[in-house]
Amino acid sequence: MLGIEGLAPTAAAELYLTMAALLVLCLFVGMAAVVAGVGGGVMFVPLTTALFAIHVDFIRGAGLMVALVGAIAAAPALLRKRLGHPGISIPLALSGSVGSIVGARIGLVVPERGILIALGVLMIGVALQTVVQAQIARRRPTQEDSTSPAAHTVHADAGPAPRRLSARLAQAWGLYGVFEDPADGSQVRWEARRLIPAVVLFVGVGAIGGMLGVGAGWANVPVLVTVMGLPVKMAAATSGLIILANSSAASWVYLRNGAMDPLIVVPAVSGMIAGTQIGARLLGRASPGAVRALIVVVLSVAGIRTLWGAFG
Amino acid sequence: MSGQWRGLAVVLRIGLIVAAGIAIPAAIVVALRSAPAAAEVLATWRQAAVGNQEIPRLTPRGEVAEIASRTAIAALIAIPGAGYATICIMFVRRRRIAYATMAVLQLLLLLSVAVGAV
Repeated sequence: MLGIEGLAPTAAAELYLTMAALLVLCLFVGMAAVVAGVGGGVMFVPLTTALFAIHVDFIRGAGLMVALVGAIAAAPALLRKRLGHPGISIPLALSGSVGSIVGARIGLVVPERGILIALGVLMIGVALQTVVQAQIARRRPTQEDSTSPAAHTVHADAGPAPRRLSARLAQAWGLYGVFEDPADGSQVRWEARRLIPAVVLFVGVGAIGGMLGVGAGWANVPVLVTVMGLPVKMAAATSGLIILANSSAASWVYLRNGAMDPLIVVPAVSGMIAGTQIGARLLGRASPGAVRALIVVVLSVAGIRTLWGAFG
Repeated sequence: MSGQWRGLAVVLRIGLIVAAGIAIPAAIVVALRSAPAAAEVLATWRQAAVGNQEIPRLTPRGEVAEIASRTAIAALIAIPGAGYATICIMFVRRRRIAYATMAVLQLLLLLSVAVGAV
């Protein structure tokens, strides 16, 4: 009835095995992503490219779905806990979406070799970023960015100057306030700085995300923190809201070009959702440092292998 | 959660549950029905998507399950659009014209790319 009879056993077995392997890989990627605080999409695309005989077009399509569904699943909690700021996400998502559509269109016409080189560089870059972030977090006192007087004055001093357009927009749109960390109840006063440069930067970030099929949280968060001066947790949550719009815009391009196959997308997304749920339960038990080290090694090896394949 | 974002959270959650609830069983049925053509499916995956005439668009591997799984994926992609429609309504009601305008622009952009206009 379901078409099992008369099938070519090896090909069918390979098909099912590929789908099962995708599910298992994404399960582990989802677990590791939550424990180590690294984006799932940015690990999914390079690892799948390195491990599976699937064209990078389909992998990028599935990667965007992984990022999109992860963002949709996380958004209600981010809104409920008031971690993400939807007001900041709206202008940045708009510019990011324009970039992601352009990036997706470029990505689908660039030769596979070009995409592989970009992915290899991205993997090694994200591995380095993970190491640097871990070093910074180790050096920074736990409460530094939330309760110290310095944290309050940094944002106040660097806040919107009355005559600058970015500052006037930030004031007019209410992009300032007090962020309360639900983990410890500490409060940080914040004001969005350099809104216009951030809007421009997000076009580029969106383009990279759309081209490589990743959510680009690894780029969103540094822009939100270093350019706009947002508290780190708020930036991470707001990044999730931005990924919603950007991934959706780029996904339409991949869908319309036939690069979304349910037999790849569904196992990948299901594995990732299950993995993030398991990862959330493991948060207290698994060592984030060990998982982060493992991710750095895996991304570095996969990045070198991808670059080797592209140049070889 | 402040009341104004509750609608958005509800839209996202319901959208995800409904779309995933259709996509997962439909993809399982498609996988089972694709077994006789497994070699063809695997060969398709190894080729570039753009410009590949062999790539199935909506129905080639089958019937209702194939259409359902692809429609569910399209529905998943459309969820943020539904979220932005909610935001538009929310901001128009609160007379926050700048946000409402940006949300409308975002919605138009998503609609345009969905129908292939951009």
